[in-house]
Amino acid sequence: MIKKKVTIVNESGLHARPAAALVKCSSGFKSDFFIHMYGYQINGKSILGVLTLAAEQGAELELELDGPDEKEAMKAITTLIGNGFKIED
Amino acid sequence: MSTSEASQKDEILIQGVPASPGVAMGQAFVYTKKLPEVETDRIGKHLVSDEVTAFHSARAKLRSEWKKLLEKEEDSQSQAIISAQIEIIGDPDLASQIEEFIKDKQHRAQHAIMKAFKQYIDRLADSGTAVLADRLIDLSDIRDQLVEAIGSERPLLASKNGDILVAAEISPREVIQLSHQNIKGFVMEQGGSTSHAAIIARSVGIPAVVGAKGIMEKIEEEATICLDGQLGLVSLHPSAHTRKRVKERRARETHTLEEQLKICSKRSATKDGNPFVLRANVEFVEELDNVRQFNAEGVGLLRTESVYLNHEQFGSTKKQAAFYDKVLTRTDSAPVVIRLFDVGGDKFQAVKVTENNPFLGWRGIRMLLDERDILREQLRAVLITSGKHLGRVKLLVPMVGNLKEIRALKQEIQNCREQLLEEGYEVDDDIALGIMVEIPSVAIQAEHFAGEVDFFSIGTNDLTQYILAVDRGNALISKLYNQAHPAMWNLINYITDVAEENNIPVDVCGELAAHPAAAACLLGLGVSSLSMSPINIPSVKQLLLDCTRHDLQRLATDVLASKDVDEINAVFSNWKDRLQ
Repeated sequence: MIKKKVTIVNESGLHARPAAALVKCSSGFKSDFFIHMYGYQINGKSILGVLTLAAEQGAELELELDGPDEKEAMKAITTLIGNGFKIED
Repeated sequence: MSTSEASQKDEILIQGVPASPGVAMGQAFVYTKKLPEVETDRIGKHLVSDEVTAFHSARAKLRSEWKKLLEKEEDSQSQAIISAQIEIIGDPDLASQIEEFIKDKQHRAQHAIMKAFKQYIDRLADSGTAVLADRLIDLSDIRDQLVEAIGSERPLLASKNGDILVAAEISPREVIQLSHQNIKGFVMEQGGSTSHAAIIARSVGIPAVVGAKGIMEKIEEEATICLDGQLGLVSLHPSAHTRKRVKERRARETHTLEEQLKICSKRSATKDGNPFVLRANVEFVEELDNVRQFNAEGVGLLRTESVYLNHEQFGSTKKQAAFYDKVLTRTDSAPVVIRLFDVGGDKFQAVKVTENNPFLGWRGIRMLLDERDILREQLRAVLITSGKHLGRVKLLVPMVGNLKEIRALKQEIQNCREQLLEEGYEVDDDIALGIMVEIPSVAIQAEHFAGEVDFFSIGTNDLTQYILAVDRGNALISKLYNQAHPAMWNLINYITDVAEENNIPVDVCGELAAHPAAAACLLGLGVSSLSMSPINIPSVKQLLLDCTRHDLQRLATDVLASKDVDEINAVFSNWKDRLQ
């Protein structure tokens, strides 16, 4: 199991479209994915869970991954968040 | 209803929130959504597995329908929103919650769906963020579709007799559906300008007003209604006067892309043959299609702040240069004005600062001269790009407040150029250097700056807040924020006079330039080119094509003689009336 702290950098926060991108990305991995924020824990593969965090720009999240591909998953997820959910063309 | 009866009804005006520009008038089609009615009795144990199956097949059916919708959709904003909807339908936590309700509580599938969604909707509504509140409709729409998919009926949203949709709330799916039908516009009682319905309306070009409080109570089916998506104004039973104004405006406003493209394909010149220049404000590569489509003569303001948002590009000259190169490559042979980072140092993770007044603080060139590595990296990327597109790159410096800053920057550019030449790069040796005129002291001392730079670009958004001492993000005083304030016009007039004496061009790249009458006035004052969001080009261009140079100058003279904003508004509307 690995954990990492990240900050939401994009201006609009984790609203529907970034949340969808996050869930899509994490669902591609086998590992379980949880997000901790202000004492809440939610399933990072659930878009509704992610939305209920209401994480705005500057919010600090702790990512927890557990499974056979946890390292790859962590890398992909932190890159996505660090890029402000921008999809590169 | 007879015509005489209709005309007896008093006009009702409702001020809502502007959601998507354009004017529309027509018959109301009132869309009322009801909570789906579901049976709430417990089911026998033997029926549990049937209900679970019913839920799963409804979910699968809905998912495949949305996927089909996604395949057909060409609009990228709509695509992104549809993808998010598909994720909600497939949400694993939601599904297990619904199954639990069926299995443990012996609810019917429909009842279980209602309950599971309610938990999430309540939690989101409690979060207190406006953006999330705007998303609730997305959620309840999926809930209703699931419930309906289990039942037999699937009512499809189809406009009956009316052509202007009025509803308490409209889901993104419904706006997408409507955009493929003959709907002229829509009015939503709830929601803000960030609701998905509003985003899609703008993206597909349907005039819309949201947050029109009280409309559902006052509206009747097929009543005449008109809306102004630019001003956020809705009129029920419009008076003869309103109807006339709407018709006039609509005659000049363009609704269909076809008409807009036709206008944009014309040569940019006044009725009597005097050319004018309209450019585009651009931040992302995705916007370049619109620049081309609306025939902008290059990019009058390339915002570069997206570079730091995308850390992949930041910290690497090569990647930053690739971004600029992409913009230049996709804008043919037109000029591109690249503005240096216009942000505070806190945006770069290396430096953490908290300021009481960031708008009066450490940003733009002030920050860049303190953080030379960031400045040098950006100059390097810009200069490398200039060598690949000779004669096309112009450099614009934000937040300049004194001459020293310009001189220091020029020295950095010179050093950077020499370094690059030594390394064997080709560099444009005559890049035009301009400054943003946004700090009042620079405007007042324009003659001293004119001798040091190749062009001025007036950033009316910030200049207005500095001149009027009005924070444009402060809702308490938002009424006081008006870019068309007489003080602004007089100052702009002074700047253009000075620039003319010194033989340098003046561009305007703030919101003021995107307002057609204001744009006409700016040209009348001698502004050389206007830069705006590409989507605003058609309406601005259409008005300008209908004017003579004399019309523009007459407007400028009358505006300069006005002493307050009301007088200026009157001047604008009188002037437009006389144009026809």
